[in-house]
Amino acid sequence: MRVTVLLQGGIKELTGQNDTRIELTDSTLHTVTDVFNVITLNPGDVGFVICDNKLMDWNDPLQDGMTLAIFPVIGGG
Amino acid sequence: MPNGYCGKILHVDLTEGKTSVDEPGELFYRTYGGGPGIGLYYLLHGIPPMADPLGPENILIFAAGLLTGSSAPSVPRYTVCAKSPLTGALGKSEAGGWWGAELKMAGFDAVIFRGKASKPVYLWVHEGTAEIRDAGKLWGKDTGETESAIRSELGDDRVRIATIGQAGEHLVLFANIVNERVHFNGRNGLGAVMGSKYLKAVAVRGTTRVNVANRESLTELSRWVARAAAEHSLSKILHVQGTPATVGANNAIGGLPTHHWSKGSFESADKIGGDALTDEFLKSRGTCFACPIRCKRVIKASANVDPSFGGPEYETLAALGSNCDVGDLQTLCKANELCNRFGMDTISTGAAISFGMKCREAGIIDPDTTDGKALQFGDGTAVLEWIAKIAHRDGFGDILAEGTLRAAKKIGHGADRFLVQVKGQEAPMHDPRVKAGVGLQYALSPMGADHWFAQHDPLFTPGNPVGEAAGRPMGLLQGVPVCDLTGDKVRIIFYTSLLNSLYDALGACFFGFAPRSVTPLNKMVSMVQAITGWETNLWEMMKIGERINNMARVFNVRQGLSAKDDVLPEKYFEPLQSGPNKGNVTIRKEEFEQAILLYYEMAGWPNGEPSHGKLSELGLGWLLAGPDN
Repeated sequence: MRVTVLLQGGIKELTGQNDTRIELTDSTLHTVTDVFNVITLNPGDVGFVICDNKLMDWNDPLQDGMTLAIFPVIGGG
Repeated sequence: MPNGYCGKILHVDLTEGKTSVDEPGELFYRTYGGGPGIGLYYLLHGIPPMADPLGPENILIFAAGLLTGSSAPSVPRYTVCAKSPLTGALGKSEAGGWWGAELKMAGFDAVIFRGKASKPVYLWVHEGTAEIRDAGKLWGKDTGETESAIRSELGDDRVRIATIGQAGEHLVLFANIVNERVHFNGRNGLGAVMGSKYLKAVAVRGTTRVNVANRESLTELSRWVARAAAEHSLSKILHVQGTPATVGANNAIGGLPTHHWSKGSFESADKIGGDALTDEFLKSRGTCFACPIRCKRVIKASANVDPSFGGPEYETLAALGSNCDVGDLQTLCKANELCNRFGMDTISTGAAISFGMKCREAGIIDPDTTDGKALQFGDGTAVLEWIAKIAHRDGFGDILAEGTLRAAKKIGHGADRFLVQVKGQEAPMHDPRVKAGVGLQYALSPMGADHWFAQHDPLFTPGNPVGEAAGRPMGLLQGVPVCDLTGDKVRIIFYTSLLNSLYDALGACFFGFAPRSVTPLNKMVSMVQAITGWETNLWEMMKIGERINNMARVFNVRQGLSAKDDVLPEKYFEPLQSGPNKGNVTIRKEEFEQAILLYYEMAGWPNGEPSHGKLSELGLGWLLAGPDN
């Protein structure tokens, strides 16, 4: 399974990652939650995840070649 | 001397050129807190019904929060309130920075201005004294020049100054009040009220430490907040990217106002968002008095931008950027500087310009109307020019300076179909179609469309542990989807509208406290206990917030407003134009109107007006007798 992850809106700082764009290749990736686990991101810190202009649920299955954009919780600015 | 508050309120009669002091006592502070609680008490006792907001009968009040100046973390704020010239309703706006804390250290909780000076003046408050001084040489100067001139005249660089720029002098109806060049009482046109009174600035300086009942306990709380903020996700994002982080998220969800609300996504959003600002312009992170979050943007000097006026916040980037189709960050930093120099609210300024662009695009106004000046979407240079023209009421800028509601009436030809405002105030840059509770806030806020009347929907979604933890002390045990408008959502908006008014009364910044940030409600109560020495609890504190909301409602009723004014622009009942919900109507009008009625029922406001029972329950029986002037 190959998935591209885009860490948006400063959420990179909540992970152990150095880049905002991450390429994951891992046979144990099955759902969005698995991606959170791999990049050490607390699901509670995530506002929403978008793939192909669609909102993803945390337990949605992944497909090979997907690009996930992950945004933090934003509560007024 | 009391703990937390000073116990002294300064009254300034600008007509007579006299000052006096009253000392209300502990019961007053425990009933009304500080900030808007103090402000509304005096507004309700002093402004006649249907008063002219720009006439001498309007009262202008600067009131620090109850905890402001105490060195507790994230409580730097103060309120300015008056009758708003933009809305004809309550004008109320909070600012951070150092001004509020300095006022307390100078010995006063609030300053109340009545009447009108015969010539430009400023007030100099220091060490328990006050002096009205000539401001003839300051009139015509921008906010930065005024700050420098007053500091030079007083010979003290640590004087804190709240001032108006040229926009306030010219009575631009969305002129703001600026302190330290980067903090603003931004909304409702309170700068125009200052201008109408010939009051250029209020300078404060004090060295008397605010008394704290239990300093050891407060120090322990402060240490806890500083440690926890470094680990709290929302606080961390605020620190790293500040409010500009919101650009990308709102754009992705189809909720970034673009092309005067015609679209919800902007093709150049990545050029004006938090990542771009951080990478290209950020020099360091600024802060307010005793706040560990440090959410303010300090930008680098560049060719034509003076960095002393700070970096743009989200509202500025959207109002003057995406909503005008301007995707150049350098231009937006300059636009931010100009608004801050002239003293104008960036939300209403951007909204007025994008409204003008929309009218021009629709052929309602022609080049002759705009004196031959460009007013097209995407033209950043034009945005900069129109900011100056509005501030100086030059040509068509004079019409835009009236705010979009009045401008639409003057323009005619159906321009009102492009209005996106409530009670005359332009909507902030949050589209209720992607967070429906914000729509309730816009409609219900006594100040017109306002995005901080309550908390925002994404903080209380199902399974969000941050929101769940924040809501639990209020009995909000389950999250609700962002576009829901059922009773569960109305309850969240009702409770958090009380909470937000409480925060204003304490001087607490939403970016320091739950649910938007780190400090939970139990620690907030502990802070009040440590600072004031009161044996208090969350119930008593929330009642202060509820009291403020009811006083605000009574104020508006007396000024002629009613439930018919609690409406949402038609735009928000139309389908979304972009994002995952493209083509969907996410707010249905009937459902929305039912939610408003439900809020009234929860609040004890039959027909939108506080009931006798509710006012009595809150200890506001004195309001039942009607205006006392």
